[in-house]
Amino acid sequence: MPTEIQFKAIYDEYKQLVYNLALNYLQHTEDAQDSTQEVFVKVYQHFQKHDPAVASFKTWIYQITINHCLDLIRSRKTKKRFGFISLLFQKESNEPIHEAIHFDHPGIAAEDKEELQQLFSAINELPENQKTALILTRIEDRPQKEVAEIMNTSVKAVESLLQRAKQTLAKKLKDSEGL
Amino acid sequence: MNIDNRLNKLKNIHRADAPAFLFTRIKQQIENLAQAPAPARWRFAFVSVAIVLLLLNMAVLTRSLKIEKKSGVEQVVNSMHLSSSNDLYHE
Repeated sequence: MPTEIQFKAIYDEYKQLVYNLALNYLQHTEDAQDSTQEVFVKVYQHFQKHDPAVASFKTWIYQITINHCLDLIRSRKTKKRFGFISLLFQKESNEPIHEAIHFDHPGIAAEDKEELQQLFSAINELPENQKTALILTRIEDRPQKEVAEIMNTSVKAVESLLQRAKQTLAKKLKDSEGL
Repeated sequence: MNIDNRLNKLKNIHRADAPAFLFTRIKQQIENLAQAPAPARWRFAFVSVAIVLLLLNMAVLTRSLKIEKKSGVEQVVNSMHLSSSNDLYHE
């Protein structure tokens, strides 16, 4: 476990990275705050497991954040899928089974909101690895070599993921505009 | 519009500041984790394993006692040259 001073230094250095990456995955302020909290608790708990020979600390933090956000999205999708079934068994409860997720990204200016919301809804439908490659290169502005390290793959594979993501997005956006 | 041009719009996203209260929340969660009792699943697993071990112990003990009892009687019968047969007449 890191000392309190060590942990505070880690938090100060990486809080913006984790929070903004979570925002780009989840597009929801409260979810991003909760995820940032969970990620730093995991960093604290698994601090000893980080092996500098395998990945740099920054890469490790990226991987924890991405995995956490993808897990959250997956569990939300599963809840949504089984929402009808759980509704049958939870007649008494007044709590909503799954709340509608509103687009709420504090880093997006009001004039860009509509267009980027449309773009993000298409990005959210991409397969996980294509979405990750796109977010890391296009929003986080990381070089492809670093993206390959974070995703534990080759630079060629990242290029191919980006190419496929672009093709899928172009088709999805064209379809949505055609409607 | 070209897809690359559309994706370039993503560059307009600004970096947002993480709220100041977040570190206090994280510290609180870490402190709570340290004090938290073992999760219910672990407790259930521990109790189940303890019960299985106890039952196994009891089964082994009762079996060995039965064997010991039986062999004790046989020893006495053999040492005193007693017949263990219920037949009154030997043919």
